[in-house]
Amino acid sequence: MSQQGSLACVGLGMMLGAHLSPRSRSHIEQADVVFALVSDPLVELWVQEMRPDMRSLQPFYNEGTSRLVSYNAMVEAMLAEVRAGRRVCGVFYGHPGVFALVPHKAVAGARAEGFEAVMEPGISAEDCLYADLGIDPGKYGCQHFEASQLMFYQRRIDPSAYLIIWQVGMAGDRSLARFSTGPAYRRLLVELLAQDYPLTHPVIAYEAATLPITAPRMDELRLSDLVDADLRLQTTLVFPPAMPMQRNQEMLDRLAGLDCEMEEGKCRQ
Amino acid sequence: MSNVIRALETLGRSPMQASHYVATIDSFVLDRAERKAMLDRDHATLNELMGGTKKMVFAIMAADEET
Repeated sequence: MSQQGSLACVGLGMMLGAHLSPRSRSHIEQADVVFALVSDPLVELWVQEMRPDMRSLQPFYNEGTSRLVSYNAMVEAMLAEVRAGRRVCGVFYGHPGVFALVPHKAVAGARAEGFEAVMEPGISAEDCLYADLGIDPGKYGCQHFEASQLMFYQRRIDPSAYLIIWQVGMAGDRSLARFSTGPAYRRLLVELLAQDYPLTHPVIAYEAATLPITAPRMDELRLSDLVDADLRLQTTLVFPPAMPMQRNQEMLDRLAGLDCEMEEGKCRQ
Repeated sequence: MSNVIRALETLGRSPMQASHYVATIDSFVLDRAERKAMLDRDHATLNELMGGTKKMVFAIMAADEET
């Protein structure tokens, strides 16, 4: 049986005042307790204006401590209030379910304990990126990787699709305890990517606008520039395709064979 | 609600041309420094004037949950 406490993890979107859905706003206004983790200090003040009793999740970060410890503490702080019978709202920048471990863990944890828990989507940096850069992920396909994960594991990059790399400012951080890594780490990332792209390949350093008075960052660089580029926590790298899509003739032939069989079947009926 | 945040919320809600931008800002009571930062679209100064958090950390994804 569902207990009285509940959890809603909602997305604020990226831009102050522009992206918050009516449902998410209702959750924020009606909750007993509101926690918030946002990417811009003025956006945090905006949430605080909506809910003066808002509890920022910023203090849970501690450079030198694994972020996994911080993430678990954030989840636990929210769930403790749910267990105490309160309606809890976790407010997260962008979309609470996109490149976001904490809201997923909190919702799953609450449900596992028998509480009602929902996630309300928001407009993510990915959504803003498609609009600002004029990219349709359906045109050539689009791969997304977290930068460090791309480095830690054997992955197959398809250079005929778009490639989008997240959290590049912390690329290669095995400790999960740093908020940034430097050129030596990025040099390894560039080496890895150079297996699939020429060093002169264009790359866009993208940052969504968080205020209506500012513009998104859309700096065009070359792959080789990434080592010394100004890449921050909020920077996302966008690689346009490096080669045309290759037709899969074997599959096309098999499909043509199926089409023939279907046609013949029709004639026989 | 602070007038700066209210102005930003209004600007966020309705995209507008440059001429309307100034008029919108002037429809809120802002002190001289706040107004200048808004007109200059100066994010850093605005944050300083509002006393916002200096350093935000907001990564909520781990590359490897087993680390």
